[in-house]
This record gives sequence, structure tokens and C-alpha cells, in this order.
Amino acid sequence: MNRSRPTSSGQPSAETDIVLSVKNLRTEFHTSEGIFPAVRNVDFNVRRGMQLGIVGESGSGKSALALSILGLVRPPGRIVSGEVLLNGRDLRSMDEKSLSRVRGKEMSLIFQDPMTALDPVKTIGTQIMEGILHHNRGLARSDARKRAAQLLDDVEVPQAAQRLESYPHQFSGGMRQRVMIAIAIANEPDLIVADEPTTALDVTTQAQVLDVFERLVQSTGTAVILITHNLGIVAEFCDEVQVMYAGRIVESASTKEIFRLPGHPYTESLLKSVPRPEEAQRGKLFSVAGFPPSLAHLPRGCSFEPRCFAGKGLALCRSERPSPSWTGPNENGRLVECHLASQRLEDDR
Amino acid sequence: MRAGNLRAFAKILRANLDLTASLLILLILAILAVFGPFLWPYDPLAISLRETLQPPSLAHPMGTDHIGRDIFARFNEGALISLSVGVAVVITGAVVGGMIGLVSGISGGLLDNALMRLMDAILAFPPLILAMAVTVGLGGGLETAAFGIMLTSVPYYARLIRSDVIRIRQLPFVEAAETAGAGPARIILRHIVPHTVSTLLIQAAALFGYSVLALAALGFVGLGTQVPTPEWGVMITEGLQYALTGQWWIGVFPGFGLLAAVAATSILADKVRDLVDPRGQYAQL
Amino acid sequence: MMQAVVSRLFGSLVAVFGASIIAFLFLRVLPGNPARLVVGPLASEEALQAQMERMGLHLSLPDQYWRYITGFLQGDWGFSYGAGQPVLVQFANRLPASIELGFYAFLFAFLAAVVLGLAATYRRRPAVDAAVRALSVFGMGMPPFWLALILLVVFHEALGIFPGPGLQLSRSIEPPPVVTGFITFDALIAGDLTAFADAIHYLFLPAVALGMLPFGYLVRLLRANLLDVTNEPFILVVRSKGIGLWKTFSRHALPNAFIPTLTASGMIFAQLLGGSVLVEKVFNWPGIGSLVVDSILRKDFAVVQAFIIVSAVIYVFVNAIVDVLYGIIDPRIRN
Repeated sequence: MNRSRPTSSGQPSAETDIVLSVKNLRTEFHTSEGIFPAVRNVDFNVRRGMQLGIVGESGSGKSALALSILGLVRPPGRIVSGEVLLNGRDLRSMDEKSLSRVRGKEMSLIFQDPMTALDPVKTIGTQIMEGILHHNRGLARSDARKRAAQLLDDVEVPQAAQRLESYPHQFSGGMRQRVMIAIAIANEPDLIVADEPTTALDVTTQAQVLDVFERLVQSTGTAVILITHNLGIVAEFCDEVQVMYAGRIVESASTKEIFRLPGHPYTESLLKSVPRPEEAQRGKLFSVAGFPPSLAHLPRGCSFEPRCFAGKGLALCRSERPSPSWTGPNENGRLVECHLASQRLEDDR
Repeated sequence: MRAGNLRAFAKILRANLDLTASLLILLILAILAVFGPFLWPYDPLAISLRETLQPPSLAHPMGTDHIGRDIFARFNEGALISLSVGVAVVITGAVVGGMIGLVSGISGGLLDNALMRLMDAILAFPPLILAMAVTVGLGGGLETAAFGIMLTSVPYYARLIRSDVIRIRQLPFVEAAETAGAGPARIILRHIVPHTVSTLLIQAAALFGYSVLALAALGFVGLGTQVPTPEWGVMITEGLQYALTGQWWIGVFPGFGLLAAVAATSILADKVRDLVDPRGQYAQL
Repeated sequence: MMQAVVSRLFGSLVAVFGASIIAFLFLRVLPGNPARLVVGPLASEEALQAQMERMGLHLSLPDQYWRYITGFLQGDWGFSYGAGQPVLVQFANRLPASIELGFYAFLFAFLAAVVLGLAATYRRRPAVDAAVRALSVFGMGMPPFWLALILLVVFHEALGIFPGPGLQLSRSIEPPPVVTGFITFDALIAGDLTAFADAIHYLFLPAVALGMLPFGYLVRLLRANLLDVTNEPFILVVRSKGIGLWKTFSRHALPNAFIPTLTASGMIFAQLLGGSVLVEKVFNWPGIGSLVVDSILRKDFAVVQAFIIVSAVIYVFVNAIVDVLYGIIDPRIRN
């Protein structure tokens, strides 16, 4: 593979270690009911080989973020500002032709619902080969076919070579999700954006598919952004976590840290809402009160304030939007966007 | 209508300008049809040999025809014929088709099968040809034309209502009513019929355009309304022979009337369906 | 699979059979004696009886039907007293012109619907979409005979770009030798491009007039289906592989959008048959449609009967083709 990976010769620079850098990204949906800023000026980096989780409720802007990274936001939505740097190049300044050389090659997408994520009238083989042939001009069809069969075998679909002729409706949900993974890893990308990859599957299948996925990305050193609302999957799969609320990343930290000590009240509420056997026995199941705010009419202050157990009604939280702040020592530091962050993290220490 | 409903209706109108426009068009056509004769001085049948083939002017906004009749007056009369026959055809078709669908859906078995095969056989014909054949078979004229058109529209209602009835019968609340011991008549009247009404209305709106067009088509070939009645289709036929000699207005204006009426009801049917039942399936002829 | 084909075939036969019964009964339940129409109002009672016997009208209804249908299958489609010709001869003379017109009308409707359906959804521009939707509503709301008249007034009378009614080919042009009976195809077979272009010139306005209604339906369906399909996640997945927008549409969105559109094709075809009756009259097209109108007005019912059966057969045939196409496009139907 002659990919343009930045050479890591010389001093180990932090810059070359970064696959994806998102800077001040803002994505809005302009509808007749108003303007919905689904992603509100978000910044973050993804290092090579990193497994990053992005967590949030539905409607928090996770999926819009995923599509923004790939440049696939469609009208009425559009990216209004910011940069998406993949391997150092800004995708937003690229034309459609250059983008089509990057998508599927340097980064790819795994989509939520395996039922609707494959074209129902094309064979599995055709759909895997499509991306291979697109990025390897001049490759013989028979070779692309062999590669497709190999990929299907890699994702542990039994009798891979024969199943290339099958259609999506002949596959189970779990098998289809494996096909999706095969399509995503076909050109060994540097980054895979996986939007709720296992949500539609039952728990056992979920674990199996996730195992296959993890094995493959680790063997190729592919970085993954895993978008989910399932904290169990995050704990199992991700090195770092970012929590998204109303289009903002309100907290980011290592998985270990965040589970040990959630910095943002929203993170804490999310963690508490995961049922635990000992609490369920006591009949106490926590859920985040209220609903996410409408993106078209965000509160003036902190967007979480109306639902916040810690800051609800506080004058500061109601009147001023918090800004992100680093807390903790730099090594396992975290970013929290909350007026009460330092106080909360101090208290716990 | 209560003030609250009125306000909600006004809000829908503001948000759906195409709906508003089509309602407005239908309203204007209806006003012309009903009040035209009182507001416009010319008689649709009055011949004036001094004013033949006049192009549109202030005195005759749509011009005059080969025997000097005022086309605007005829247009208004044509609106009355088209709209009223359209409404009559749609209502009778909906009632007959709805009954067949209801009987078919409730009875099931042999009767259902026989009725549906009959509907299929009617559907195997081009509707317009069948309407023509029935009309000529029964002797022609406005009433028979209307009957022929109504007959060809019946299967579209019947099939839709039948599937609706079958679907509703399986809904939990109907099953609950059955378990609770409600008699069949009560279930049909209280539970099934009310739920098919919206389907029937939307399908009727969708078929209104077909009815109006088919009536004009029958008039055009000389089967429906007879000369000198100013039915729009008949007027287009009359205009046909003058179209190529420069007197385009005779045939063109009635066509605009048809286009406006059909387009407006089709938008109306679409919009109402979107608002009431976004996933429903309605055949539009 | 085999069983599905057989049951489908059987269903088609039943439909054609039903149509033939309706066509037959239609003639018999009419008030008035068909034999009287033949012999004329002044003929004697004996002459009428003799004619009735010749036409088999003295037999019982089932016997009459049997006689009619077996005759029909053997090519005896009855006699057109209006034209003084066997119905079969009339159909043979006139059907090609109608089928040719229908073919180009459908071609126009289909191509225009695909182009405009794509235009409405491709870049998701609300203004283009609104324009296409308006066109579709107009297409469906326009009486075909009126559109034919407008086209003649504008493009023949006012602008003089297209020829007027009455002909299929300019008089100055030698018709190509008859092979298929379709002038454009015969011209191509003979390699006569001048005649081909001239025939297309004559076909253009009637084809547009006849195709506008099917176009309205097709573009409306196709647009709605394309919108549905392009909102499916698999389109995003295809795009995420790096496939460009055009290839995504042509390889994935269009084939998927065609599936529900196909189902409506049978109905659209029925529309075409009905419309041809009206459009042919305006353009004086020497096809079956204008013959049927004239026959209806003359109460020349043998022609109408044959037309009803033929159109039912065509309808069933088209639906069978649709079913086959279905199986080819949609793998979910195949097994």
C-alpha cells in the first residue's frame, strides 16, 4: 500500500500523529421552521490508531457531526464554518472530485441501520467491489473479486466466496453489519466513522460484530470515531470519550477518567442512567430529567441548565454560556464545558 | 367552525401556499359557475351574427365564437356543468364503490372474491374507452356520460375501501369491541365506517379530476353533452376547426378552465392526504 | 418461480376472458337490434330475420358468445358495416400507426420524466423541484385533445415549426418500403434518414400531446421515489465509498426508484390507449383511435368490441412484461 502516511522519521511530532483535526466546525440545517445548528463550533483531534467514542442522546448532533466529517451533509443542511483536516489537508476546500478520491480511501463510514445501509437491488459482492474498483483504477475485476471475498472472510462471514452473489435481504442483520465493515475497511483507511454501528443488533450479535471490528482496526492501525448512545460499548471499545450535548462537545477525557469521575453534570447523569444490578434492586433507575432543548431555540446560558441537577436556576448558568476549560494535570487532563467544572472536580478530589 | 379551528385552518393555509392557491382557484370557478349568469349580461346561448369570431376584448374577455356567442358566458356555464357533474359523479361513485368495498371487506369469502374479480375485469379496460362504450350503449347525453364515468371509477373506491376495512378489522380496538360483545352492525357502523371516511374523501378528490376530464373527453368526441350546451369539451371541439385559421380563443379558454379545475383538485387531494395520512396509497386516474 | 409464472398466466387469461365477455355482452344488452342497423330502417321484416340469422342473433346468449369468441380466435373479428370492411383488415391497416405513435409518446414521457425527476432531486434545489412538481400537475390536468390543439396553434399555426394534421410523411417524400409497418423503423431499415427525420417531424407534436399525461404521472412517481430512495442510508454509504453523485444516482438511486414506478406502468399504458383516441382525432392520425371514435359515433360496434378485446390483451401483455422486468430489477421478488 503506497499511502501518503506522514513519515514519523525525525522527532515524534504531535502534528504528524494526528489523522483528523476538526476546528471550529459548525453545521446548520436551514428549514422552514428555523435554523437548527446541529453542530456548534466543535474542535477535536483524532490521533492515528485511536478509538474515540462520541456519546450523546439522539438529537445531540452526533450524526450531523459524522456526516460533516465526511462532507456528506445534504440540503437543507450545510457546513457553515470551520475546518476538517484529514492527514493535514482541509476537506472543506477540496472540490467534489478530490473528495471522491479521499472518501472510501483515507476515511470511510459505517452506518447505523444495517437493514437500510446496503442497496437492496445489488449483490453484496458488487457493493464491496464498488469501492475497491473506484480507488484502484486498472485493477482487474477478478482481482477485485478476490479482494472482496478476502474481506468477507476477514469479517467472518462463512463461505465468503459464494456469498458474494447474495443480496442483502438474504443476510441477517449481524451479517449485513459485517458486510458494512468489509466495505469500510476495503481500502484500509486511516479513519473510520462508525455511526451507531451495532444499535440495531441484539446483544450477542453486537458483541461478536464489535469484536471482529476491533480486531480488524487494530491490525491495520485504523483510527475509529465510534458514535453511540451506548455507554457499555464505549467502556469496552474506546480509548477516549467525548460527550455531545445540543451540538457541543461538553466533555472529553480518557474513558477510564470519565467513568471514574464524570466532570460534566450531563456526563454524570448519563452514567447514572445506565442500569446497574445493585441499583435496580433498590428500584432506583436514574434518567436525565426533561428533554434536549430545541436547537432552534437554545437557552441563553448553558444549554444543559434547565435539566441540570447541579446548576439549575443558578444565575451564572442561566445567563452565560460556559466555555471549555482544561482541568487536571496535562497527562490525563480533560476538557469540560461547565461553569461548575473546577468546583465539582475539586470537591471529588 | 369555532374560532380555534378557524385559526388552525388559517395557519395551514399560510404554510401551504399551493393549497391556498388551489382552494382560491376552485372558489373562483365556483363563483363564476353559480353567479356568472347574474353578473354577466350575455346569454351563453344568445346568437349574434353581427359579432361572430371576435377576438378577446373588454366587451368579450374571451372573444366570441362562429355564431357570435359570448365565450365568457359559455365558459361560466361550462364551469357549472363540469363542476356539478364532477361532484355528482364523485359522490355517487364513492357511495357505490364504498358500499361494494365495505361489503367485500366485511363478508370475505365467495362474495368478496366475485366482487373483486368483477372490479378487476372493469379495470382491465382503458377507463375512458369503457366510459365511451357505456355512454354510447345507453344512448349518449349528459346523464349517461356521467353514469359511464361513474361506473369506471367504482373499482378504484371499492378496492381501496376493501383493503381499508380489512386493515381496520384487525386493529386492536375493533377486536376489543368484538370481544366485548358488540354486534356486527354496531361494529360496522360505529367503528369501521367512520374510519374509512377520510380514505374515501381523499380518493374522491383525486378522482374528481378524472371525472371532469372524462366528461370533457366524451363531450369532445360528441358523446356527452350535445351542442349547443356549452360544456367545456364540446366547446373545445367547436374551437378545433377554427384553431388553424387563427381564431384560437374559441377552444383555448375552456381548456384553461379544465386545467385549472383538475390541477387545483389534484393539488388539494395531495395536500390533504399529506396532512391527514402521509403514508396512504391512493390511485389517481 | 414456475408456479408463480403459471398462476400469473392463468390470471391474465381470466382477465382477457372476462374482458371478452363484457365486450360481447356490451353489444347484446344495447337497446336496438344490430341486424336492423345493417339492413337499414326501411328493410322488410323478412330481410331483418334473414340478417339476424346470418349474424347468429337467433341463438341463445352462450351460443352466440361461443360463436363470437371462436370466430375471433380464428381471425373473424366481425364486419364493420360503417366502413364496409372486415374489422381485422381495418385493424391491420391502422394499428401500426397507433402503436408507433404510442411508442414515441411513451418514449417522450419516459425520457422527460427521468430527466426532470433527476433534475428535481439531484442537487436538491427547491426552486427546480417546485417547477418540476408544477409541470407534473399540469401534465396530469391537461386534457390531451386540448393540449393537441394548443400545440397545433402555437407550433404549427403561429410559429410554423411543425407540420399540421393529416399526414404521417410529407407528400414530397417517397415512403420507405413496408417491412414492419412502422414508418420510422421502415425508414431506418431502408437507411433512408430523410424519411426518418420527416416522419419524426410529423410524429413530434402528436407524441408530445399524447405523452404529456403519462409524463405527468411518471415524473410525479419518479420524483417521489427518488426522494425516498435518496433519503435511504445506503445512498450515504455509497457516497462514503468515494462514488460521485452522478454514479450514485445512475447505479443505485434510479434502479431503486424505478421499482415502484414500474407497478404504475400498466395504468399509465391504459391512459395512453384512452388518450390516443382523442389525440389521433385532433391530428387526423390514421390510427386505431380515430377509427374507434368514428365507429362509436356510427354505432359500428364490431369495431368497438374488437378494440376492447385488443386493448385488454395489450393491457394484460404489458402487465406481464412489467412483471418480468420486476423480477429482473428487484432481487427480492425473484425468489
